[in-house]
Amino acid sequence: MSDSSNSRLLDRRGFMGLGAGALVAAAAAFEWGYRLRTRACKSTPPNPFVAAGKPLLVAVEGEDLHAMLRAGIEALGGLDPLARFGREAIFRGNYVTPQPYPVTTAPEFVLAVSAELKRAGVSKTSLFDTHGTRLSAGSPPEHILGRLGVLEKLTQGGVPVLARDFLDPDEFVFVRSPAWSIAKPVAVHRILHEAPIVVSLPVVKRHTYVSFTCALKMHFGSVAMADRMLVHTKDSDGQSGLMQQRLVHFADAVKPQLHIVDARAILARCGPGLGGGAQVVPGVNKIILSGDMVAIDVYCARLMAQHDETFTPDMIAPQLRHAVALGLGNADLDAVKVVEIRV
Amino acid sequence: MRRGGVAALACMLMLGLWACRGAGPLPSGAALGGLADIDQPESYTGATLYTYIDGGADLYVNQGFSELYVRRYGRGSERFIAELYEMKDASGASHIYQSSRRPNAEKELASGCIASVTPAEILAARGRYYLVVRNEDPLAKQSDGLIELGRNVLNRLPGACGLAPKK
Repeated sequence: MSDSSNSRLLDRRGFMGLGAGALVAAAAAFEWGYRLRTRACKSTPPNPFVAAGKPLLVAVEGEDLHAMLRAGIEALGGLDPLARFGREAIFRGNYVTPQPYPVTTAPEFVLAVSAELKRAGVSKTSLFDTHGTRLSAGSPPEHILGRLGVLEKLTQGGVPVLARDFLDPDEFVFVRSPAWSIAKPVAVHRILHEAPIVVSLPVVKRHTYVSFTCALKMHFGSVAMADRMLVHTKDSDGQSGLMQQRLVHFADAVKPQLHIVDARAILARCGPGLGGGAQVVPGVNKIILSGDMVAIDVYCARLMAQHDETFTPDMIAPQLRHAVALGLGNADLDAVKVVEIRV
Repeated sequence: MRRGGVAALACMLMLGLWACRGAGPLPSGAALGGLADIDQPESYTGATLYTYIDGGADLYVNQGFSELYVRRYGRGSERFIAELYEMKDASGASHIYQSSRRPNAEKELASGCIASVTPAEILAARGRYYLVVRNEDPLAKQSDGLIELGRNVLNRLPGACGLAPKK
């Protein structure tokens, strides 16, 4: 270890320890308040986007977002199956930091998908996010969305924004699956647990600790801050495998029925934010649609490997294996009907 | 009730550490030639850097991070952000620059100072400072405003350039 790292007053582990101490206390308050009323993970109908018994994955290449989206949805067989699940849909975007697309989900992408859902008969769409708390004047739940202009654009576009406090115990429900490798429950946001339709809108990025983030990893943002911090504390360098397992559990707790990835541009080499050598790759010009979140990550990992020589898809093999074991989808694209089209 | 109160207090103490206000050596927009100041300047210590860079702060901490100053500027419809990482010594700043710079994108930005210049981002090291100036839109085309801002800030920093042009 270098002198500089020895002399630092509070390193990542120290900070995480400090944060974890507070958040363990918060978790204790969660448990005390709820008397540990743990539920099963939400039950969702089988993937409605299948062809000849295989899950469908549609990749559309083009430059006109609306035309790409329309073509992708048509190849998917339309969104009518989603509309049969309910009248309201919740969007999950990636808003980890106040940096615009492709670090975070673009507001015009959310609006475009919303318009398609409404054409299919969904009467209301809302964007859910929980990346802040009212306990801090500088980081209220809507601060990232506000800085990015997402709040204003979506509100004006008829898509309400549900920015929730990641430390508010009343907002979360404890869920657990007997199939998980870790028995402890996860505090998933009540809105996501109860929503009849959840549509995930990931971006494709490298990630310092788990190499890659797309459809699975983004659900770190769906659970209480205590859960996120405890994983980061116990697996501070991403090497123990805990993070790779727990991110799958977080995704299992949400189980969106549809994933539409905006890969018109991607963040290569480093992430999940700009800096540290992260490189925005424009001109990828793809969107990927599927009801299978594992197939989505396999496909998008290959896409990343095409644009980032420091990445190989086997870097995320552990999380994919675990997701397959939990029945979240298919990692073998031969078992998936992949439709690639250009508009 | 007591446990909940303690938890809330602990959280408030932790979160109270988040972004402080302070521009450090970053000049005001007016001092940089008619730029508008957007929002209040922010600063982050080693304890709070992880709240600014979720998932990428170790690179800086491991090289002797001291403080980060963040300031946002505007000109017309363009929005720029300047991040100034103050390290404990010049070798830390230089190491971060060398691990983050873009190959084949370096040029002399300020007198005697090499910088990595890509359309939406400028990286440079000078003295114990590592400087990042970027267009807030990561997909923005190269702009004279970004180059000018990077050059002006770099010229005002104390210390020797992390990388000087080859003679």
